[in-house]
Parts: sequence; C-alpha cells; structure tokens
Amino acid sequence: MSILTVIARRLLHAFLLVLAVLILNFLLIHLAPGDPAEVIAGEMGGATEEMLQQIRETYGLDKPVITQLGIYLSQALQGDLGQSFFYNAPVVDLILGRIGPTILLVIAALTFAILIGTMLGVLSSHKPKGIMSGFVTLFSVVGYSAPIFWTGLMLVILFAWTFPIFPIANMYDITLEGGFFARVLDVLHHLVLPALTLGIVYIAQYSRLTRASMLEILGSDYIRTARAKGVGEVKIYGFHALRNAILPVVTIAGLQFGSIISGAVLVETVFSWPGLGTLAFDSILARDYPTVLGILFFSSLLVIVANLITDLVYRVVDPRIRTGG
Amino acid sequence: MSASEIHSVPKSQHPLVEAARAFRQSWAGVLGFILLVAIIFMAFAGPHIYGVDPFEIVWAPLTPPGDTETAPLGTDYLGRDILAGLLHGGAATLYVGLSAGLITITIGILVGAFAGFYGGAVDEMLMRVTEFFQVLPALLFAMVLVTLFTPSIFVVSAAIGVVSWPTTARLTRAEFLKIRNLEYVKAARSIGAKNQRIIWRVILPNALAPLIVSATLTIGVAILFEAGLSFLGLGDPNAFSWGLMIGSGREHILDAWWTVTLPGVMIFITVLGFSLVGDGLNDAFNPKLRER
Amino acid sequence: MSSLLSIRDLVVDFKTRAGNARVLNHISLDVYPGEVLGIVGESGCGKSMTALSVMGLVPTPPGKITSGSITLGDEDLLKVPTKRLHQIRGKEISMIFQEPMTSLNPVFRVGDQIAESILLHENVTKAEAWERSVKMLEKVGIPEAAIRARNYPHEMSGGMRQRVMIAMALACNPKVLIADEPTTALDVTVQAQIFDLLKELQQDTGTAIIMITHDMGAIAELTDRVAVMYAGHVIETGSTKDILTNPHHPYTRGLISCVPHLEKNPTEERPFLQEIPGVVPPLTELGKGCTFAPRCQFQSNTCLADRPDLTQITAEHSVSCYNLEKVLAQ
Repeated sequence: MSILTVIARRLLHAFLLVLAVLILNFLLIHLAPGDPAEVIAGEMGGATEEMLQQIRETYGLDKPVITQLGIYLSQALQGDLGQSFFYNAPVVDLILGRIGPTILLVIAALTFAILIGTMLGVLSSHKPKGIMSGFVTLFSVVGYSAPIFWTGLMLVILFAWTFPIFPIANMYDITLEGGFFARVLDVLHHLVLPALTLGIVYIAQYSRLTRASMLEILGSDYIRTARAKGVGEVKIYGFHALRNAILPVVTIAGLQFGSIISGAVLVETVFSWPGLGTLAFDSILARDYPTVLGILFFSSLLVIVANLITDLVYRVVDPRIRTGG
Repeated sequence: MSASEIHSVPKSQHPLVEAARAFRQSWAGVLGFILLVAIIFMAFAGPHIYGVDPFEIVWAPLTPPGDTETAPLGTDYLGRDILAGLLHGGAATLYVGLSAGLITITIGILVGAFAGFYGGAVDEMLMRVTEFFQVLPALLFAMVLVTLFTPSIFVVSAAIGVVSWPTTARLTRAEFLKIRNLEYVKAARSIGAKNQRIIWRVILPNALAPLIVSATLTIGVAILFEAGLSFLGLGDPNAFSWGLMIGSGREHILDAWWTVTLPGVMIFITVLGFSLVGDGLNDAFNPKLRER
Repeated sequence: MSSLLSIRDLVVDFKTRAGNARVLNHISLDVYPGEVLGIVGESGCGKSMTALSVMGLVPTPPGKITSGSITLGDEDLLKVPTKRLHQIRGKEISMIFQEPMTSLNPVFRVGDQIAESILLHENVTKAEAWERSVKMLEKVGIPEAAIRARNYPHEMSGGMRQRVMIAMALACNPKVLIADEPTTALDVTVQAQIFDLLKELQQDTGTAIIMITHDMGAIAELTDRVAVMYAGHVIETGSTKDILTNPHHPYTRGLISCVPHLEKNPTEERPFLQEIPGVVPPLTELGKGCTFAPRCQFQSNTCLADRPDLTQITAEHSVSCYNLEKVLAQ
C-alpha cells in the first residue's frame, strides 16, 4: 500500500469521525429536556418568542428530524455552527478567536511532558533501584493522583507569595509596551505555570513509561550488540535505547490528546488563560449551548487532527510500520 | 523415589489466596489499602463523631485554621466549617466515584467482551464506536452532558461513565482476543457450551485480573472527574463534595489557602489510595513481574 | 607460538534466589593467532558466559567476575579502564550472537549499524564509513549490497541478518571474533551457508575465531582446537582431530556418541544413538567432587570426594578425570 493510499484512507476515516461528532451534537440538542429552540437560544438568554421563531426557521425545527439533521450538517460543513445569543456573535468566530491559546498551551505542556518525562525515565533506568528511580515511581503516582486544577492552585499560591517570578493569571500583560519579540517573551513568561501544571500529570506518566520500556530495551539483544561493538554507555542510553523507548511514548501521547484538552479546560480556568476552556466555562455558566457544542466539536476536531499527526509521526519514527503498511 | 515423596506435591493455594499474599508484600498496595480504609472510615464515621452541618454558617467567613475552636480548620467564604466539609465531602465524593466507576466498567466490559468474542463485523462496529468516544475530550463531553441535563449525583455519575468507558472496553477486548482461542475455551465449546456461557463463565473469569486492576484505577479517575466538574460548578449543588469546596474557595485562594488546599489534599489521598491499591493488585496478579 | 588471547583462572559467580551459582570455575583457555577454537558443551555449561566475560558484557548484577585474568596483547581486559574497553570492543575483539532476529536495532538501517562500528573505531568520514559498510555487505555475500544497506532489519531474513552481524563484527578487522552459536536459530541450509562464509572469511582475514556451539558437526567442520565445558569447568581440551577421534573424558565421549553418523555404510548395522543419562546439576548445588560424577558410569569414591584438575596427557591434549585407564579400557 502506498503512502498516498494510507493518507487518503486516514483522511476519509477522519472525515467520518467529524461527521459523527456533528451528528452527536445534533442529537444532544434534541435529547436535552425542553424545546430545542430554547436550548439553542440558551436558557439564560431570556429569548423572546420572535427569536425562538427565527431559530425554528433557521434550523427547520418544524420539519422532520432527518431534514433537520440535513440542515444542521450542511450548515456545519459550510462552517456555520450557529449564533451565540449570549455573545451575540457567530460561534465559529468566537472559537477561532480562542483556539490559538489552547493549542499553544497544549503543545507547550506536551513538549514539557515528553522532554522532561523521557529524560527522567532514561535517567532512572540507569539504576533501577536507585534514588532517581524511586523518585520517578513516587512522582508518577503522586502526579497521577493530584487533581490537576488543585496542582494549579497550589502553584498559584506558591508563585504568588513565595516565589513571585511567574505571572499567575492571563496570557499577556496588556500594559506591556514593546516590540514583537518582547510580546512573545511575555506570552512565554505567562505560559510557564499553566503549561507546567498541565504537563505534570503527563511528565509523571511518560517518565514511568519510558523507565519501563528502557529497562526492557536495555536487556535486549540489540543493546548487547551495540555494547559489543564498543558504543559508550551515554550513547547506548541516549540514542540506541531511547530511540526505541520513545515509540510507546509517541503512541500514548497521541492517544491522550483528548485527555490533555480536558485538562486544559481546568488549567485555563485556574490561570484565566484565554482559550477554549475558559470560553467553555463561561458559556456553560451562561447556558450558551451553541457555543458549548461548538467547542465540543472543535476540540474533537483537534483530537482527530492530532491523531492523524501521531499516525504520521509514528510512521517516521518506527520503520517497521512504514514499510509494513 | 519413595511413594511418600511422589505424593508430597506442594499444596497449591487458590489463585486469589496467592494474590492476596503477594499483595501483602507490595508496600504500595498495603499503603494504598491503609489510606483507603482511613478515608472510608473518616467519610462514614466522621460526620457522626463531628456533628456539624457543612452547610451551616458557624463563624466569621475566611477564618484561618487554629483561630477558633468552633472551626478548628477554619471557615470558607460564607463562614462554613471546613472540617465539617471535609468529613461530609468524603461520602459524596466516594459515592460518585464508585457509581461512576461501576457504570464505566459495566459499559466497558459489555462492549469489550462482545467485540473481542464475536470479532468480525461486531468487533469492527463496536470499535468504531469506541474510537468515536475516544475522540471526544472526556471532560468537555461530560460538562456538556451535565449542563444539558440538570446536575444531580446520578447525572454526574452517568456522565462520567459515558465518557470514560473506552479504556476499559479496549482492555477487555484485548483480553478476550487473547483468551478466546485458548485450549480451555475450545474445550468448553466442544462440550457444547453456549456463547453467552463461554463469554461470562469461561472467558471473563480468566480476564478478571487486569480488569480488577483497571477498575481500581477507574474509580480513582472518576473521583478526579467529579472533582473537576464540581470545581467548574457543575457538580450536584446539594451534594457537599470536596470538588465543590475547591470550586467555591477558588476566588479566595490568595486570601484563604486552606479553603482550597485542604479538600484538595483529601481528594489527592483518596485517589492516591486507589492508584496504590491498583499498583499492588497489578504486582499481585503478575507473578512474572515480581521476579524482577 | 604465543597466544593472542589468554584466559586464566577465570571465576564468575551469579547471585540467584537459590544461592550463589559459580557459572565459571577457574577457566583457562588460550586463543592463538589465526586459529578457530571451538567451545562445546550443553546449555548452561558456561560457554556463552566465557564469551561475555571476554567482551566485558557479563550482566552485573547479578553476575560478577570474581577472579582471574583475560589478557589480550599486554592488557588485562578485566583491569583496563572502561574507555579503553570500549575501544577494544568491536575493534580488537568482536562478537556475533545466537539470535540474528533480535540482535540488530530495529529502528536503524543495517548499513548505518555497520558504519557506526567503523566510525567508532576509525578516523573516517560518514560517507567513507558508509562505503565501507556496503563493501562489507558485499563481502559477506549480500546481493545488491548498496540497496540492501538501506534496509531495516525487519526487511531481511534471519540468514541475511546474521550476515549483517558478521559484516558488522568484521568491519574493523578484529584480531578475535567470538561467534556464540551463530547458526542455532537458523534453518539447516542457511546454517551451512553461514559456516562456509565464516570459514572463507577466516581464511581471508586471518582473524582468530572462538566458535561457541553445542553442535559437534560444527566443531568438526570449522575448528582447529576444542575445549569441552561442563558445569562451569573446562574438562578437556585438545586439537579437534584428537578430541573427535580420541576423546578421553567420559563426558566428551558421550557427546560424540550422541551424534548420528550418516556417512557410515548404510547396510552396516548401526549402534543405537547414545545418550548421556541424567541432567546437568544445578550450579548452586555443586558438591566437592567432579561435577560430572553423578552422571558418570566410571564414578568412584575419589571422584565424589575431590575435583580432578585439568592434566596434560600430550603436548596439546589435556583432560580432567581420575579414571582415565578405566575409561580408555572400555
């Protein structure tokens, strides 16, 4: 199977998933107790009868359900996810304005997690019964068990009073004057705590995962071969073994993208990070369903895209998949 | 070799007895077990020993711990007793965690068992559905479900269950795929056992070890979920849970650290308990790992 | 002739749950330039551990080289600093393993894996190293070597991979090549090809080979001298011809009579295939006496009380047994 066929298949598959998410959104509106028009208008909107009538017309709510689904899907696929009556703006515009910070946060957290996690895993695999190893085991259990928003709040307390070196809220300093470079630095400065908070859970998991696969790989025949040809220990760990140990981390990181976005919702709320999570929080408080469902759709889209990317990355890092088809 | 020697076969214990012994040797498992027993005792006996209503205003708002004997661990932004909240919050948190865990595991095992056992088109279809559920960011999906249907303990548990079953389903399926072609399953088939009997009486018991480990971890995750939803203000407002305490204390975090920190510690200890017990069970069920 | 590699009184212990296992018990062996030395014995007799000791690859813990020396030239490999050991591995001594399927790193191209060995030990550019690795692949009989060098291990058969391993091991013209059961995991036809290849390369390059095997056929075909090992001891050494035609130790005699003789006249009545009764004792439970005594038909009280030393019987032939007269009389 050629690489193009593979990609075409994946894309089709991804498209079907997107369609499925849209259908789910449609079902959710109709499964919710009450009049769908009121659900769409939002309970807190204090919708007028006139407004509800307009909604019924736009979504064809007096027509058969299957026609309604058709209308909904065709609008959605044309990039129209409806109007937020709370924000008085198209849902898609609202989301596109907020998706960037979320992607930035998630990617920063993943980078933290993969870099620090694999590093800790490799270091602790050197002495499976050493202090470092104990630390990784402890840290992985602790990191896994602490509610992420609580970890964030603890960091807020710590960095607000004890070490006031990182900002504890927002994404940038609106009073800041300076060029592009200064602004980028400012955003990165604000990014540290949220990304660290979001990353901790995954640092914990990846360090444990890397440690386990390193221990298995270090006992393998091909590592013995590398030693037998005179490769030094640093290169054995950091190259020959790590290159293989990274494979399960890539798989898991791809699979967890959805859960990272879930975590981002909480972290954004803690740090007032202006992304999809805070938008979701605000629109849920406002019972602004079109926006909430739009966010569910877009974040699923992010997961689908991330899965596609993981798939491609995996093909690059594991030659057995690449040629095995 | 004498006859007596031939007959002195070492007594083999029931696998569960063996596992229990191995579990006792795992410090993680034992520590987790102790933590859980302590938490459960606190959650169910605590409110009777310390009879203060967590919703009742007992003192000035945001009193730090140690300032008054009336509320030894301080008060929240309304002046409610934190200690009372910690003691009462356990029951709600555990209740949601256990029922959500149960729903997750039930759906997961049903889907995974059918997919793994029947294979083919059934498997293909069920795995597509599973994959679909894995694409939806679980917390967001749960948030949507809880908002659409008014939050109550049941809705929250059901929402958590509906968003978290895919992991269990995949695990169950993998176990079923592994076991369904083993000799004893063929043997059961050859004596005419029906499919349903093979699924639930022959394969499932043999897949139980990893599923029990996973169930333990699932409860921990469900508790984290409940905490997250409550923190966002989407929990059952009438159920006083630890997540709710953190959510309501959030605005005051810089003035009153205790309102957030203390309930967080309780959640942490509880989830830690479940993860450690999961680790211990995993060690206990995998004799091969113990050799290392 | 002075030896190239010399193992003296090597003792290796392994800590196990059942207690301390002495996997090598005062082993002494010499390898001479350009020769093929066979080490033969059953699984667990210590032949692979001898090889790993020479390479400095004994897994520690649980293993531990307790005493002895392994000299190459004028260096004791057990005493050289780690850095020097890395220079020696792959350059002076290299090794090929039993499992070609798992002995190559799955995520690197085979050409790169060979080139890495060259880059580590010689002052060449990456391009030159790649060129050389293609040449090595040609040399070990891989067709279309320039294309094959770009393959990943999973794209090759077991026999091919073992050829790659050989190419990698010989890339830096080592003085000694250790081949640890290089054909055990391969098909019989492929085994023969690999043997032929090793023989050919050995004649070409003059590299001394330590051939570890449990296959007496391979010993007969490839080796100049043989050391027979049993339960961590060398129990008999000598020229291959001597050992095969005139074995002295009861164990060696047993090993040789275990091999079916196809070349004998088919009409002639053949003796039953022999077996050695019993099993190798657990290394944690070796008594004071000869380790083979419990399975030996010539066993006497002396054998059970004390372990016989390896004693020279001719210039080249040594054996450790108390009852040689009885054995030879049979």
